[in-house]
Amino acid sequence: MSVLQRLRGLLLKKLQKHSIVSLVRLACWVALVGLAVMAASIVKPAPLIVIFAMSVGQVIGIVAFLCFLLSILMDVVRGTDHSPEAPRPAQELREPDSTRHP
Amino acid sequence: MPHAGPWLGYVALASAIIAATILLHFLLRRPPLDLRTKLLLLLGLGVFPTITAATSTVAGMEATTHREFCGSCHTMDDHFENASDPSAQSLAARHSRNPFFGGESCYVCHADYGMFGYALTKMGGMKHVYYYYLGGYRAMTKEESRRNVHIAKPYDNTNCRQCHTTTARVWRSVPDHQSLELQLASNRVSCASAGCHGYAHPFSKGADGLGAVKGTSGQPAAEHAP
Repeated sequence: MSVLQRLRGLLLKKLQKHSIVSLVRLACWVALVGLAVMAASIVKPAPLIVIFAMSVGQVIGIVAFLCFLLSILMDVVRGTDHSPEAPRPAQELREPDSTRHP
Repeated sequence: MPHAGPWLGYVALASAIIAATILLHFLLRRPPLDLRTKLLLLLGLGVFPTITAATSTVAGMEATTHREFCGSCHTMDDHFENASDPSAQSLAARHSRNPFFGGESCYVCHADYGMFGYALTKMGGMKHVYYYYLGGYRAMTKEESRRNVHIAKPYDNTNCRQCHTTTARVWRSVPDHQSLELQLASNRVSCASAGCHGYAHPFSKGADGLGAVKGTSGQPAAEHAP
């Protein structure tokens, strides 16, 4: 097995280990920080705050959105094998379908 | 850069508040992560923050052109106070009272013009921030800053000529303008010099009123040296 394949496997395992909900919650907290920084630059446009908002603030926002995209990717990778925190319709999908598997 | 106006700041704040409301609703109410919630989160994490980022960037850039922004560093206190003084007679103060310059007089006079003028001006501004926070300007007293802080390069007469055309008959009828035309075009003689229209910020010049304030060694202080 090549190093790349091993890395890919490791990454997929890590992705599956973490809860999608916790990742989305993390994205929300990170986005709130980014929004606060950007809003601060409007309320008080001092040199450092404006520069900070235009650089770090926007990077924080991008990180939050990437976390959200990653959570969607995890959702797709997992398919119907959802975590216990998954919404009710998804959990219902986990139930073995007796009509399809007699 | 066109005037964005304060409404852009309001748009940035409004979209930030909407995004924050969506995010806090998800964090505090903990709704199931179904399609509706995911679409709402797409708005809260993607669409509205993007609007906030774009509008706050433009509004922030706009804010950097205001005189209050330039005067927010103490080394610019004298320049700010003089330009804002309604009774001051310096070149900077008189231009600042002109509605075209108004609250953005520092930017209008000191901006680089041309295709990349706006970007170059902002890059120059970043250098000022560097000098202030990491180059020692922040620790300077007002007296020290008067001695040591100077314009980075000779003031470009092109900036004056953005408004004061040199092709008008009135301008050409002045004998000094005629005799110095080449020197003015090549910036060897400044419009804002002692023998012509006077210094823009005369208080920052030496007691003799003829040149820059001398450094402690008796030599003119290095331009923007910390």
